Amino acid sequence: MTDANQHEPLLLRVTGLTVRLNSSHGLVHAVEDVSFSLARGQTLGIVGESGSGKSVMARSLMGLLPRRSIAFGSGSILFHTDNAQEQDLAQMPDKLMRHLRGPAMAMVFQDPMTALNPVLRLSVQLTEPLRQHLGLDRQQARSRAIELLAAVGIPDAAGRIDQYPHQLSGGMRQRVVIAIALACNPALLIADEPTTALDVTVQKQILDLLARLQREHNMAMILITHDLGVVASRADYIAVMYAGRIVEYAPARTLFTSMQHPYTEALFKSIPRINDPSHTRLQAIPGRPPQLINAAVGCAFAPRCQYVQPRCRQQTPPVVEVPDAREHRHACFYPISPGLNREEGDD
Amino acid sequence: MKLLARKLPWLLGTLFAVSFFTFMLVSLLPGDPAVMILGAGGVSPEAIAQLRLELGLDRPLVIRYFDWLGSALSGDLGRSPMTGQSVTDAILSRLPVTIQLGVMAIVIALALAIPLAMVSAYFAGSRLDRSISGVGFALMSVPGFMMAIFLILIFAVGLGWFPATGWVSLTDSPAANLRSALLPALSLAMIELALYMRLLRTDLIDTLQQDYITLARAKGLPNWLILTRHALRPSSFSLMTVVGLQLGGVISGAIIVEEIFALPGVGRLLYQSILQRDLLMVQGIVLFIATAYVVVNFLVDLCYSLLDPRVRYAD
Repeated sequence: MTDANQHEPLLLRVTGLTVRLNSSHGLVHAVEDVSFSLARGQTLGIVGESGSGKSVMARSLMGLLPRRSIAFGSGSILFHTDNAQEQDLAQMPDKLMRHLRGPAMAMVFQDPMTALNPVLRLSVQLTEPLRQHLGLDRQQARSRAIELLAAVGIPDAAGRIDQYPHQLSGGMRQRVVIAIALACNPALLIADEPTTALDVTVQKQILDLLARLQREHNMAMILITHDLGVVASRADYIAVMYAGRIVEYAPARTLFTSMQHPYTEALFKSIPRINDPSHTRLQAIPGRPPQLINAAVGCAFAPRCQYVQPRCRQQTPPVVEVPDAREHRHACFYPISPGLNREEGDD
Repeated sequence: MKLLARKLPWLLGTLFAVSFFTFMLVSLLPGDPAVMILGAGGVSPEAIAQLRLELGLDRPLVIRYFDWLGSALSGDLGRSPMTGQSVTDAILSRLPVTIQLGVMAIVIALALAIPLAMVSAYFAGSRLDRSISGVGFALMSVPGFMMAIFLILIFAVGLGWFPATGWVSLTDSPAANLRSALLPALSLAMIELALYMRLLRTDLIDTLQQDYITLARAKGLPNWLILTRHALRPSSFSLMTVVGLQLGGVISGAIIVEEIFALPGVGRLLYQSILQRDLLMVQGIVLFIATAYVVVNFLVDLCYSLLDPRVRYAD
């Protein structure tokens, strides 16, 4: 794990994060041995189908998983706070963790229609973190909240602030959710599928807004999506998740030029492209993502993989570095890119 | 206001139907009021017929109904043939006792049920939650009169802290009034408490799984604030409906408790009037109960809009 990220100081280093959840169907292996790191101001895109463990991972970073649902958790989440101290969030009690949520890290949720409390005015929902963490009084918090609404592009912020969520459109609500997340100027913003529930026309606006705010605040961002196209131009690094594991990790440009994992390739081919002749069929990935209940033996992608070999069904491929490539890792016995020494990654 | 305009015809219709059916039911009960008044033995049929004529019992039922309804609308529910007392006065003089009892019971029940439900829902599935639910179930399955007798045995007979029976009015002595009202209110509250708690717990557990609660946690708010400000209001719809129904039904709910504690309330008046077959009194009280029900439920409808802005703006 020699992620350089040389230019900016390191903000987050996740090592061997494993989360297993209780469910009515049994133990869910939601996150398995996930490692990555992130520098200040950078964007990590996490891509995967629904059920690949992206959201559980995001929530475990924030300490938002209900304690009772966690059957097993291990690994470390080292977070560098402002005074350059390193704290392991995985070991932190909720009482302390709460003070980091908001000022240190914040989250934007998938569905803005359900993420805001329907019975509380925006003013209440926006001023809460300001009063809680920054100690502003009612009046200060209110004027700061109006500034925040204006900053996320809500027209007539001073008039809107006393409205209820149902009086706003989906895109506007997502802007409010973003304003809430930004209230305490967090060092890390986790955006969990922030545009999935929105109209296509609004999606780009919201992504652009996030990018602009990220630049202005020098925030690091974890952008979670099921759409490789969304992160292609917006992320510095991309992690592809499948069945709770990161199966490939690389700087964004490297990933698109020399992808190694068959799953990454399959995801890539499932994006519609403007240059394709019309009526080209999209290549869907056959089969379904696996249920994460009771981990299977072997590579989780094997049943859907077009390059599958007998070995893939017997052993779980470990994460290996791509030789001669900077910060490029994958978990495949038989990586696809030609010209690279396949045997190196074998053992 | 729009709500009022929309609901008013419905409200009046309900009241009309209720009054009609009460009148019919009570009048069609077997047993002749005239006989009841004069006593069964040794009265001449002529005397009975004479009394029936005086009471207007010889006229057709429907005519008697409209007659009664007409005066009821002007506030006159008639005069009890047994005691000669005006029904309206009898109800009004006893109403404060019953209202105080009912309100105290609901306030006590809510004051205990809301925090308990929050704790229970927050620790759902834990041993603490199961113990609270268990006690709730036990309370719910105890009949009201048993609860009253238990409380009398423990706090009045055993410890002697409160009087076992009797009533001191609020104007005579507020302290003594509270002492005389506490045990009866408590025995009513204990039963309501369990119901409120279970309702609110279920709705809270549901609410706590909503995205906006996760967002509230992601803001770094303390748990107590999340429970009180973010979770309680969206979870209290069924609770409010039931509290409304119980508030409307305070009189009938208090019948047994008022009788056990010998309190001069409307419930006891109803009970005794039924025993004495005092038809006009029974009709008057039932009409009164029905009106209270309808009015309170209308107020509850108004309160929904306080709880949920989406209802408010839909109007």
